[in-house]
Amino acid sequence: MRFLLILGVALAGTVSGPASAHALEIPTSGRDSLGQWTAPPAPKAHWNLRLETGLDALVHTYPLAVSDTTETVIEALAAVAVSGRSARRGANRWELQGSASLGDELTRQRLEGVFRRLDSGRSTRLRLAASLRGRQYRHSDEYTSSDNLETRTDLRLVPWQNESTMFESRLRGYLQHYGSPSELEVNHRQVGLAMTLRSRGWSERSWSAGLLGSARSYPDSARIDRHTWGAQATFERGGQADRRIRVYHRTDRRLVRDETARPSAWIHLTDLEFAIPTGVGRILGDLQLEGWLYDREEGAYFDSWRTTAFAGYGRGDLLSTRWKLGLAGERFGAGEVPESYTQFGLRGGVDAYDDQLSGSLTLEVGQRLYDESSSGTETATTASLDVAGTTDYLDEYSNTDFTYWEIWLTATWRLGDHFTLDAMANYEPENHTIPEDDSALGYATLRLTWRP
Amino acid sequence: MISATEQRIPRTASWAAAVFVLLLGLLIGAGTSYAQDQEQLRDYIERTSELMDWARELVQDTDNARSRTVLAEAQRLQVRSIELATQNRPLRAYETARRAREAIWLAVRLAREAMNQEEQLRVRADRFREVFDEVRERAQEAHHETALTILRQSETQAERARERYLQGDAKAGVELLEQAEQLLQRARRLLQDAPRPGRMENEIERTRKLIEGARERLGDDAGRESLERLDDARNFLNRAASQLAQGHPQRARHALERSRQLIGEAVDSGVAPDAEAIRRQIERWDARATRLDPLLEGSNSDRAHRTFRRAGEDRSDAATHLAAGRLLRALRQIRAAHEKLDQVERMLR
Repeated sequence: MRFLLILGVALAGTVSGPASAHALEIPTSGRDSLGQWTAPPAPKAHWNLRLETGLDALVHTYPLAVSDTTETVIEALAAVAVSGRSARRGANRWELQGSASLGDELTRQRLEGVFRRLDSGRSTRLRLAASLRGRQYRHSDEYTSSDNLETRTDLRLVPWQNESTMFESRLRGYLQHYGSPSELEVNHRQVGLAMTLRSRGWSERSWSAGLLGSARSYPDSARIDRHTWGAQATFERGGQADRRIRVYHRTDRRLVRDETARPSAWIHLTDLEFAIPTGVGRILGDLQLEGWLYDREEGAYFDSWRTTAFAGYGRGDLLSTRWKLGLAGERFGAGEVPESYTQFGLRGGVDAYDDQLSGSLTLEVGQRLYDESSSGTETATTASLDVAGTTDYLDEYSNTDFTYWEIWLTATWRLGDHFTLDAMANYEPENHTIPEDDSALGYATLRLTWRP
Repeated sequence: MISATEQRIPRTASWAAAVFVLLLGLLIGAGTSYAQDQEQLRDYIERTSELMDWARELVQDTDNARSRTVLAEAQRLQVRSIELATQNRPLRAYETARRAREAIWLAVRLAREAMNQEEQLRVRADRFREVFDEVRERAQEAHHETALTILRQSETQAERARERYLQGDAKAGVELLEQAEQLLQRARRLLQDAPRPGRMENEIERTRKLIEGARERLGDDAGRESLERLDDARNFLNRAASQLAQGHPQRARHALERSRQLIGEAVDSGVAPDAEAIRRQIERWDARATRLDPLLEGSNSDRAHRTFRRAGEDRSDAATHLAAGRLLRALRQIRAAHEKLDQVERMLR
């Protein structure tokens, strides 16, 4: 059987209330008939306690020449989480969140905190966020499951701003530590600084332009330490209107300490999205360009450009039901490298929003054609192959053309005033010209949440 | 510079190289009848090891767990193929080495795709976080509970995206982040369009008046179909009021929209294009205009005066078309004239 299925079933319960003497009681009489506006802001800090239990199941199947390999993970877990925030008044605000889960495959811990300092106009002038995440695998092998710890800090300062523009600087730190580092799981840490000039507020147009730099180091493999310098800019007009355009561009220069270990590179990313009203609906377009240009092409590192595009027609409103249908395409070009391919497909989707039920369904079917695809004759059964006949096969790149499906489903139901049911599913089968290469990937979760 | 710790990292390829030497010795001593085949098998296994090193570099550069798993499987198969070769079982050795080669290609493909997706995910996650913080601050300041609920869902989805990424599935991460972005945009839009408390009640009251106006406009000529649609419009209006009272503004809004749609359909189907019915429509317009006249005189609204003037022009055109026997055009004009009077009434309110 060739399929990949991740099935997650989680049962979550949230108990909210006076976990401390600072608990807030939201007066129900403060709700107006719209059910959207609550009256008075929180006079004190607010704490929540959440309890969660669930089940995750994973089946991963992939082909290996004459047989499939299947990886199966089934996990039952229980989790507890506490979150709190300061009152919505005053110049200093804070938020804290801590959670831990215990499963028969994995245990996780998470601790996050955010502090904000507001000015008299209630604009955030300083924001400090820090997080700590730990993961421990209960079953491990050499490559895939080393216990790890991740910490992040993000300091954001707004030293200057006026009515329409602000200047922002950010300092970020990141640390990834593996309990058993290996060739494939390498400890590393990173520190970065970014300076950005951006528009303020939610006007018809918004923009930003900035410079950033970061340094990443690998204590166990110092040869691949790197510095990155980059520039990025965004422009958006129309927001969520029927006529809108969004443009994003970023260029990074990645400098590796030892060029013989890994070549330095330029990386370009451009994203253009637009909508043009036509008739009762609108024409939708999305174009992404991504280029990796190495100083020296060698081994796994070669210059490549990836272009993905979508052009279609859509109708409906973001706050009710809407659909879209169009053509999707992708081109990965890497010169003479046989990984180059062209992909095209038909993509359709519908999403709906309602107080009770919201969800989306996206379906894409298409084909990927490699510039140099393996032919079926190379997959004759091993019984018919003689060793002397292997020479021509040596340097063949073994990708085969395939037809693919991508299905994504998400849904959220409000079951009464206290329960919410979330569902999510993804299934992506590939049917190759050589059936032995067929594979499939899937993911699904179901979560029930209770809020008092 | 390579640190000491790196030296401690196990390199299966190193001891595999030692096995190669042993394998080479065995091949040399195996006699001449299979010498050529064995030479080629040795080359094949050796080349697979080179490819393994090459793939390892790429996989190491990504956080993709699936490519790691597949490459680890390739490693196991490669070791097995060496064992089989040393046991002088060349066909089985080749078969196993070939499976290792297949796994290498798959790992490379997964890693290459992940490399791009990870970069995309990192950039998009940064952008998401910035906008999310801004929107959440705005929602908290406005105490907009619906937007805050959607933002909680958005944050959960972004957290799932991150979890998938940490588990090495950047592609699923990108998809989930897109869902989170969509929820974020929804919350943002709710905040931008946020009705002030009481606005929805006003909309319901306005729709109730539209129904009354439509019933008046249809008069005694109203057909069964149009009356049924007006009844349906009233039912949807009541449903909207009920949903609003139960705290479901979005459902209320949809019911209200349906009610207004039905009012339009009732008016459209209410009058058959016969001359007598159109004439009565014109008379009703005249009666309405006469009632509005004193109100207009007391109003300073240029817009109301302008709209009233244009309504009068439509009414004159309707009469002209009626006289010429162009019934359909006459009907359209008198409907337009009535609609403009509706607008004037709203402006004067």
